[in-house]
Amino acid sequence: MHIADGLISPQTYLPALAVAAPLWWVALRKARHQSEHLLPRLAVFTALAMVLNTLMLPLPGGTSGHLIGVSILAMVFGPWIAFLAYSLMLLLQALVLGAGGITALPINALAMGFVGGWIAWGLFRLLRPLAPKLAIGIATFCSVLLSATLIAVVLGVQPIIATTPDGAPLFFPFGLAITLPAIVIPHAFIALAEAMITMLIVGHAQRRKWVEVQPS
Amino acid sequence: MNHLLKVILYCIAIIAITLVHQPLVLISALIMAMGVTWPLAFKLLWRALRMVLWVGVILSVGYAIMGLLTQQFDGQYLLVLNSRLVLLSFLTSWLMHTVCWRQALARWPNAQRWLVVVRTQSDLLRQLSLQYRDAVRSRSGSPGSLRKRYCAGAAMGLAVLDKSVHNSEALTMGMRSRGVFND
Repeated sequence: MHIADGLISPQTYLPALAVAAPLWWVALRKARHQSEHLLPRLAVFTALAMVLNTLMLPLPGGTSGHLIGVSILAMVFGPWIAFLAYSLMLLLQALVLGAGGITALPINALAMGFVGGWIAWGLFRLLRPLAPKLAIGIATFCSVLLSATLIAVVLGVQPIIATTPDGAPLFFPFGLAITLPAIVIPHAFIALAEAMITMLIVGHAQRRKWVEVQPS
Repeated sequence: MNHLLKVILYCIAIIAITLVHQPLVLISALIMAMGVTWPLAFKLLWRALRMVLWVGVILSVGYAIMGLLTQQFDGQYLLVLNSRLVLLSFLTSWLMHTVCWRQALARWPNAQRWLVVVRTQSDLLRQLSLQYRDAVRSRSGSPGSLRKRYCAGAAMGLAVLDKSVHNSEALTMGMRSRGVFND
Protein backbone atom coordinates (compact mmCIF):
# COMPACT_ATOMS: atom_id res chain seq x y z
CA MET A 1 0.00 0.00 0.00
CA HIS A 2 3.01 2.33 0.24
CA ILE A 3 3.00 5.25 -2.14
CA ALA A 4 6.21 5.40 -4.19
CA ASP A 5 8.31 8.48 -4.94
CA GLY A 6 7.22 10.47 -7.98
CA LEU A 7 3.46 9.92 -7.63
CA ILE A 8 2.72 12.64 -5.08
CA SER A 9 2.88 16.38 -5.70
CA PRO A 10 4.88 18.79 -3.50
CA GLN A 11 1.52 20.49 -2.73
CA THR A 12 0.65 17.28 -0.86
CA TYR A 13 3.88 15.98 0.62
CA LEU A 14 5.19 19.31 1.95
CA PRO A 15 2.04 20.04 4.07
CA ALA A 16 2.07 16.38 5.14
CA LEU A 17 5.68 16.84 6.28
CA ALA A 18 4.64 19.95 8.21
CA VAL A 19 1.98 17.88 10.02
CA ALA A 20 4.17 14.80 10.54
CA ALA A 21 7.29 16.60 11.84
CA PRO A 22 5.77 17.84 15.15
CA LEU A 23 4.08 14.47 15.64
CA TRP A 24 7.45 12.70 15.21
CA TRP A 25 8.92 15.12 17.75
CA VAL A 26 6.16 14.33 20.29
CA ALA A 27 6.57 10.58 19.61
CA LEU A 28 10.34 10.87 20.12
CA ARG A 29 9.81 12.59 23.48
CA LYS A 30 7.34 9.86 24.52
CA ALA A 31 9.83 7.19 23.44
CA ARG A 32 12.54 8.67 25.66
CA HIS A 33 10.38 8.00 28.72
CA GLN A 34 10.09 4.29 27.91
CA SER A 35 12.22 1.99 29.99
CA GLU A 36 15.13 0.29 28.28
CA HIS A 37 13.74 -3.22 28.88
CA LEU A 38 11.24 -2.49 26.09
CA LEU A 39 14.03 -2.07 23.51
CA PRO A 40 14.52 -5.75 22.62
CA ARG A 41 10.77 -6.34 22.22
CA LEU A 42 10.33 -3.12 20.27
CA ALA A 43 13.16 -4.13 17.94
CA VAL A 44 11.61 -7.57 17.40
CA PHE A 45 8.11 -6.24 16.81
CA THR A 46 9.39 -3.52 14.46
CA ALA A 47 11.28 -6.20 12.55
CA LEU A 48 8.10 -8.29 12.56
CA ALA A 49 6.12 -5.38 11.09
CA MET A 50 8.85 -5.05 8.46
CA VAL A 51 8.61 -8.73 7.58
CA LEU A 52 4.78 -8.51 7.45
CA ASN A 53 5.19 -5.57 5.08
CA THR A 54 7.07 -7.78 2.65
CA LEU A 55 4.49 -10.64 2.75
CA MET A 56 2.54 -10.20 -0.45
CA LEU A 57 -1.03 -11.52 -0.47
CA PRO A 58 -2.63 -12.39 -3.79
CA LEU A 59 -5.92 -10.51 -4.24
CA PRO A 60 -8.93 -10.95 -6.54
CA GLY A 61 -8.32 -9.47 -9.98
CA GLY A 62 -4.71 -10.57 -10.23
CA THR A 63 -3.33 -7.84 -8.00
CA SER A 64 -1.59 -8.24 -4.67
CA GLY A 65 -1.09 -6.27 -1.50
CA HIS A 66 0.85 -6.58 1.72
CA LEU A 67 0.09 -6.59 5.42
CA ILE A 68 0.79 -3.41 7.42
CA GLY A 69 1.67 -4.56 10.93
CA VAL A 70 1.13 -1.25 12.73
CA SER A 71 -1.81 -2.61 14.79
CA ILE A 72 0.49 -5.09 16.51
CA LEU A 73 2.92 -2.31 17.42
CA ALA A 74 0.09 -0.05 18.64
CA MET A 75 -1.55 -2.71 20.82
CA VAL A 76 1.73 -3.87 22.35
CA PHE A 77 3.55 -0.52 22.78
CA GLY A 78 0.89 2.18 22.43
CA PRO A 79 0.16 4.52 19.50
CA TRP A 80 3.03 7.00 19.86
CA ILE A 81 5.76 4.37 19.99
CA ALA A 82 3.98 2.51 17.17
CA PHE A 83 3.94 5.69 15.05
CA LEU A 84 7.64 6.34 15.65
CA ALA A 85 8.74 2.74 15.10
CA TYR A 86 6.59 2.43 11.98
CA SER A 87 7.90 5.72 10.54
CA LEU A 88 11.48 4.58 11.09
CA MET A 89 10.63 1.26 9.48
CA LEU A 90 9.20 3.10 6.44
CA LEU A 91 12.37 5.21 6.29
CA LEU A 92 14.50 2.08 6.45
CA GLN A 93 12.43 0.45 3.71
CA ALA A 94 12.71 3.54 1.50
CA LEU A 95 16.44 4.11 1.92
CA VAL A 96 17.80 0.61 2.37
CA LEU A 97 15.35 -1.62 0.50
CA GLY A 98 14.06 0.91 -2.04
CA ALA A 99 10.37 0.34 -1.17
CA GLY A 100 8.07 3.34 -0.76
CA GLY A 101 9.82 6.69 -0.98
CA ILE A 102 11.27 9.69 0.81
CA THR A 103 8.89 12.31 -0.58
CA ALA A 104 5.93 10.01 0.18
CA LEU A 105 7.27 9.14 3.65
CA PRO A 106 5.22 11.73 5.62
CA ILE A 107 2.02 10.61 3.89
CA ASN A 108 2.73 6.90 4.34
CA ALA A 109 3.72 7.49 7.96
CA LEU A 110 0.63 9.58 8.74
CA ALA A 111 -1.84 7.26 6.98
CA MET A 112 -0.48 3.93 8.18
CA GLY A 113 1.63 4.75 11.24
CA PHE A 114 -0.33 7.56 12.88
CA VAL A 115 -3.97 7.12 11.83
CA GLY A 116 -3.65 3.32 11.57
CA GLY A 117 -1.89 3.09 14.92
CA TRP A 118 -4.29 5.37 16.79
CA ILE A 119 -7.41 3.74 15.32
CA ALA A 120 -6.10 0.26 16.21
CA TRP A 121 -5.15 1.31 19.74
CA GLY A 122 -8.33 3.37 20.36
CA LEU A 123 -10.77 0.72 19.15
CA PHE A 124 -8.84 -2.00 20.95
CA ARG A 125 -9.10 -0.08 24.24
CA LEU A 126 -12.75 0.75 23.60
CA LEU A 127 -13.90 -2.76 22.71
CA ARG A 128 -11.60 -4.79 24.98
CA PRO A 129 -14.02 -4.83 27.96
CA LEU A 130 -16.78 -6.24 25.72
CA ALA A 131 -14.90 -8.94 23.82
CA PRO A 132 -11.12 -9.00 24.40
CA LYS A 133 -10.16 -11.28 21.50
CA LEU A 134 -12.63 -9.84 19.02
CA ALA A 135 -11.53 -6.32 19.94
CA ILE A 136 -8.08 -7.05 18.47
CA GLY A 137 -9.61 -8.26 15.20
CA ILE A 138 -12.12 -5.42 14.81
CA ALA A 139 -9.55 -2.77 15.72
CA THR A 140 -7.05 -4.15 13.20
CA PHE A 141 -9.65 -4.50 10.44
CA CYS A 142 -10.82 -0.88 10.86
CA SER A 143 -7.26 0.39 11.13
CA VAL A 144 -6.15 -1.24 7.84
CA LEU A 145 -9.30 -0.18 6.03
CA LEU A 146 -9.06 3.44 7.18
CA SER A 147 -5.36 3.64 6.29
CA ALA A 148 -6.13 2.24 2.83
CA THR A 149 -8.96 4.75 2.38
CA LEU A 150 -6.65 7.63 3.30
CA ILE A 151 -3.99 6.46 0.85
CA ALA A 152 -6.67 6.13 -1.84
CA VAL A 153 -7.91 9.67 -1.13
CA VAL A 154 -4.40 11.16 -1.23
CA LEU A 155 -3.68 9.45 -4.56
CA GLY A 156 -7.15 10.25 -5.92
CA VAL A 157 -6.89 14.00 -5.29
CA GLN A 158 -3.57 14.32 -7.19
CA PRO A 159 -5.24 14.93 -10.61
CA ILE A 160 -7.27 17.74 -8.96
CA ILE A 161 -4.45 19.56 -7.20
CA ALA A 162 -1.49 19.06 -9.56
CA THR A 163 -2.23 19.57 -13.26
CA THR A 164 -0.85 21.46 -16.24
CA PRO A 165 -2.73 24.57 -17.43
CA ASP A 166 -4.53 22.39 -20.01
CA GLY A 167 -5.72 19.97 -17.32
CA ALA A 168 -3.30 17.04 -17.84
CA PRO A 169 -2.13 15.40 -14.59
CA LEU A 170 1.42 16.01 -13.38
CA PHE A 171 1.66 13.18 -10.86
CA PHE A 172 -0.76 10.31 -10.13
CA PRO A 173 -3.26 10.22 -13.00
CA PHE A 174 -6.39 8.55 -11.60
CA GLY A 175 -9.16 10.26 -9.63
CA LEU A 176 -11.10 9.16 -6.56
CA ALA A 177 -13.65 7.21 -8.62
CA ILE A 178 -10.84 4.79 -9.53
CA THR A 179 -8.51 4.88 -6.53
CA LEU A 180 -11.15 4.29 -3.86
CA PRO A 181 -12.52 0.98 -5.20
CA ALA A 182 -9.13 -0.14 -6.56
CA ILE A 183 -7.39 0.27 -3.20
CA VAL A 184 -10.12 -0.10 -0.57
CA ILE A 185 -11.87 -3.26 -1.87
CA PRO A 186 -8.69 -5.39 -2.07
CA HIS A 187 -7.60 -4.05 1.31
CA ALA A 188 -10.81 -5.35 2.88
CA PHE A 189 -9.42 -8.84 2.18
CA ILE A 190 -5.97 -7.82 3.45
CA ALA A 191 -7.58 -6.34 6.57
CA LEU A 192 -9.30 -9.67 7.28
CA ALA A 193 -6.01 -11.57 6.96
CA GLU A 194 -4.20 -8.99 9.07
CA ALA A 195 -6.94 -9.10 11.73
CA MET A 196 -6.45 -12.86 12.10
CA ILE A 197 -2.65 -12.61 12.23
CA THR A 198 -2.84 -9.74 14.75
CA MET A 199 -5.26 -11.69 16.96
CA LEU A 200 -2.77 -14.56 16.97
CA ILE A 201 0.31 -12.44 17.71
CA VAL A 202 -1.22 -9.98 20.21
CA GLY A 203 -2.93 -12.90 22.00
CA HIS A 204 0.47 -14.57 22.25
CA ALA A 205 2.06 -11.32 23.46
CA GLN A 206 -0.64 -11.02 26.15
CA ARG A 207 0.00 -14.60 27.34
CA ARG A 208 3.75 -13.85 27.53
CA LYS A 209 2.93 -10.59 29.40
CA TRP A 210 4.69 -8.50 26.75
CA VAL A 211 1.76 -6.08 26.46
CA GLU A 212 2.31 -3.14 28.76
CA VAL A 213 -0.57 -1.00 30.04
CA GLN A 214 -0.12 1.96 27.72
CA PRO A 215 -1.46 5.32 28.87
CA SER A 216 -1.25 6.61 25.18
CA MET B 1 32.38 12.12 -0.26
CA ASN B 2 31.02 12.15 3.30
CA HIS B 3 28.17 9.64 3.68
CA LEU B 4 25.88 12.08 5.48
CA LEU B 5 26.48 14.64 2.72
CA LYS B 6 25.44 12.01 0.14
CA VAL B 7 22.15 11.45 2.01
CA ILE B 8 21.50 15.22 2.20
CA LEU B 9 22.26 15.65 -1.52
CA TYR B 10 19.95 12.75 -2.31
CA CYS B 11 17.10 14.32 -0.31
CA ILE B 12 17.57 17.70 -2.04
CA ALA B 13 17.72 16.01 -5.46
CA ILE B 14 14.52 14.01 -5.05
CA ILE B 15 12.57 17.05 -3.87
CA ALA B 16 13.94 19.08 -6.80
CA ILE B 17 13.00 16.31 -9.25
CA THR B 18 9.35 16.41 -8.16
CA LEU B 19 9.31 20.11 -9.13
CA VAL B 20 10.41 19.37 -12.71
CA HIS B 21 7.76 18.48 -15.29
CA GLN B 22 9.75 18.63 -18.55
CA PRO B 23 10.56 15.13 -19.86
CA LEU B 24 13.73 16.33 -21.63
CA VAL B 25 15.14 17.75 -18.40
CA LEU B 26 14.31 14.57 -16.50
CA ILE B 27 15.85 12.30 -19.16
CA SER B 28 18.95 14.54 -19.36
CA ALA B 29 19.26 14.35 -15.57
CA LEU B 30 19.05 10.56 -15.75
CA ILE B 31 21.77 10.44 -18.43
CA MET B 32 23.94 12.77 -16.33
CA ALA B 33 23.40 10.66 -13.22
CA MET B 34 24.35 7.55 -15.21
CA GLY B 35 27.48 9.32 -16.45
CA VAL B 36 28.51 10.28 -12.92
CA THR B 37 28.06 6.71 -11.67
CA TRP B 38 29.49 5.26 -14.89
CA PRO B 39 31.01 1.84 -14.27
CA LEU B 40 27.95 0.97 -12.16
CA ALA B 41 25.36 2.83 -14.20
CA PHE B 42 23.64 -0.13 -15.88
CA LYS B 43 23.68 -2.23 -12.73
CA LEU B 44 22.02 0.65 -10.84
CA LEU B 45 19.58 1.24 -13.70
CA TRP B 46 18.58 -2.43 -13.73
CA ARG B 47 17.99 -2.35 -9.98
CA ALA B 48 15.99 0.88 -10.35
CA LEU B 49 13.87 -0.60 -13.13
CA ARG B 50 13.08 -3.68 -11.03
CA MET B 51 11.95 -1.34 -8.22
CA VAL B 52 9.49 0.68 -10.32
CA LEU B 53 8.69 -1.55 -13.26
CA TRP B 54 5.32 -2.80 -12.04
CA VAL B 55 4.22 0.64 -10.77
CA GLY B 56 5.18 2.23 -14.09
CA VAL B 57 3.58 -0.47 -16.23
CA ILE B 58 0.29 -0.56 -14.25
CA LEU B 59 -0.04 3.23 -14.24
CA SER B 60 1.00 3.65 -17.88
CA VAL B 61 -1.28 0.91 -19.21
CA GLY B 62 -4.18 2.09 -17.02
CA TYR B 63 -3.67 5.70 -18.08
CA ALA B 64 -3.35 4.77 -21.76
CA ILE B 65 -6.59 2.73 -21.67
CA MET B 66 -8.49 5.45 -19.77
CA GLY B 67 -7.01 8.16 -21.98
CA LEU B 68 -7.99 6.41 -25.20
CA LEU B 69 -11.49 5.69 -23.91
CA THR B 70 -12.07 9.29 -22.82
CA GLN B 71 -10.14 10.83 -25.75
CA GLN B 72 -7.84 12.64 -23.31
CA PHE B 73 -4.62 10.72 -23.91
CA ASP B 74 -1.46 12.76 -23.35
CA GLY B 75 1.75 10.98 -24.37
CA GLN B 76 3.93 13.66 -22.77
CA TYR B 77 2.40 12.85 -19.37
CA LEU B 78 3.46 9.21 -19.69
CA LEU B 79 6.98 10.33 -20.59
CA VAL B 80 7.13 12.69 -17.57
CA LEU B 81 5.72 10.09 -15.17
CA ASN B 82 8.01 7.25 -16.26
CA SER B 83 11.18 9.33 -16.60
CA ARG B 84 10.54 10.78 -13.12
CA LEU B 85 9.91 7.35 -11.62
CA VAL B 86 13.06 5.88 -13.19
CA LEU B 87 15.23 8.89 -12.24
CA LEU B 88 14.02 8.83 -8.60
CA SER B 89 14.53 5.10 -8.25
CA PHE B 90 17.93 5.35 -9.99
CA LEU B 91 19.02 7.84 -7.33
CA THR B 92 17.60 5.59 -4.60
CA SER B 93 19.49 2.58 -5.93
CA TRP B 94 22.66 4.72 -6.12
CA LEU B 95 22.09 5.71 -2.47
CA MET B 96 21.49 2.09 -1.45
CA HIS B 97 24.70 1.08 -3.19
CA THR B 98 26.97 3.90 -2.10
CA VAL B 99 25.94 4.95 1.42
CA CYS B 100 27.24 3.22 4.52
CA TRP B 101 24.46 3.89 7.02
CA ARG B 102 26.67 3.21 10.00
CA GLN B 103 28.92 6.11 8.92
CA ALA B 104 26.04 8.34 7.80
CA LEU B 105 24.42 8.01 11.23
CA ALA B 106 27.69 8.38 13.16
CA ARG B 107 26.46 11.62 14.80
CA TRP B 108 23.32 9.92 16.11
CA PRO B 109 24.34 6.83 18.09
CA ASN B 110 20.71 6.06 19.07
CA ALA B 111 19.59 5.96 15.44
CA GLN B 112 22.65 3.89 14.53
CA ARG B 113 21.89 1.42 17.34
CA TRP B 114 18.21 1.19 16.38
CA LEU B 115 19.15 0.53 12.74
CA VAL B 116 21.57 -2.25 13.70
CA VAL B 117 19.09 -3.92 16.09
CA VAL B 118 16.12 -3.78 13.68
CA ARG B 119 18.14 -5.00 10.69
CA THR B 120 19.63 -7.81 12.76
CA GLN B 121 16.19 -8.81 14.05
CA SER B 122 14.65 -8.61 10.60
CA ASP B 123 17.37 -10.86 9.12
CA LEU B 124 17.06 -13.19 12.10
CA LEU B 125 13.26 -13.48 11.71
CA ARG B 126 13.64 -14.35 8.04
CA GLN B 127 16.39 -16.87 8.72
CA LEU B 128 14.46 -18.53 11.56
CA SER B 129 11.29 -18.70 9.43
CA LEU B 130 13.18 -20.45 6.63
CA GLN B 131 14.80 -22.89 9.05
CA TYR B 132 11.48 -23.75 10.73
CA ARG B 133 9.78 -24.17 7.35
CA ASP B 134 12.53 -26.53 6.17
CA ALA B 135 12.24 -28.47 9.43
CA VAL B 136 8.44 -28.87 8.99
CA ARG B 137 8.89 -29.97 5.36
CA SER B 138 11.56 -32.48 6.28
CA ARG B 139 9.19 -34.16 8.76
CA SER B 140 6.25 -34.59 6.38
CA GLY B 141 6.34 -36.78 3.29
CA SER B 142 3.57 -35.00 1.41
CA PRO B 143 2.10 -31.49 1.65
CA GLY B 144 -0.66 -31.40 4.29
CA SER B 145 -4.13 -29.90 3.98
CA LEU B 146 -4.53 -26.11 3.83
CA ARG B 147 -5.82 -26.06 7.43
CA LYS B 148 -2.85 -28.10 8.61
CA ARG B 149 -0.44 -25.80 6.80
CA TYR B 150 -2.05 -22.69 8.30
CA CYS B 151 -1.86 -24.21 11.81
CA ALA B 152 1.79 -25.21 11.27
CA GLY B 153 2.50 -21.70 9.93
CA ALA B 154 0.91 -20.06 12.98
CA ALA B 155 2.79 -22.32 15.42
CA MET B 156 6.01 -21.70 13.54
CA GLY B 157 5.46 -17.93 13.53
CA LEU B 158 4.91 -17.80 17.29
CA ALA B 159 7.93 -20.04 17.96
CA VAL B 160 10.06 -17.75 15.79
CA LEU B 161 8.72 -14.73 17.68
CA ASP B 162 9.60 -16.31 21.06
CA LYS B 163 13.08 -17.19 19.90
CA SER B 164 13.59 -13.78 18.38
CA VAL B 165 12.53 -11.96 21.57
CA HIS B 166 14.84 -14.23 23.56
CA ASN B 167 17.76 -13.50 21.20
CA SER B 168 17.04 -9.79 21.28
CA GLU B 169 16.92 -9.72 25.09
CA ALA B 170 20.28 -11.51 25.18
CA LEU B 171 21.65 -8.96 22.69
CA THR B 172 20.36 -6.05 24.80
CA MET B 173 21.86 -7.53 27.96
CA GLY B 174 25.19 -7.77 26.11
CA MET B 175 24.85 -4.13 25.02
CA ARG B 176 23.95 -3.06 28.56
CA SER B 177 26.95 -4.90 30.06
CA ARG B 178 29.19 -2.96 27.66
CA GLY B 179 27.73 0.35 28.81
CA VAL B 180 25.86 1.12 25.58
CA PHE B 181 22.92 2.64 27.47
CA ASN B 182 25.09 4.85 29.67
CA ASP B 183 25.71 7.56 27.05
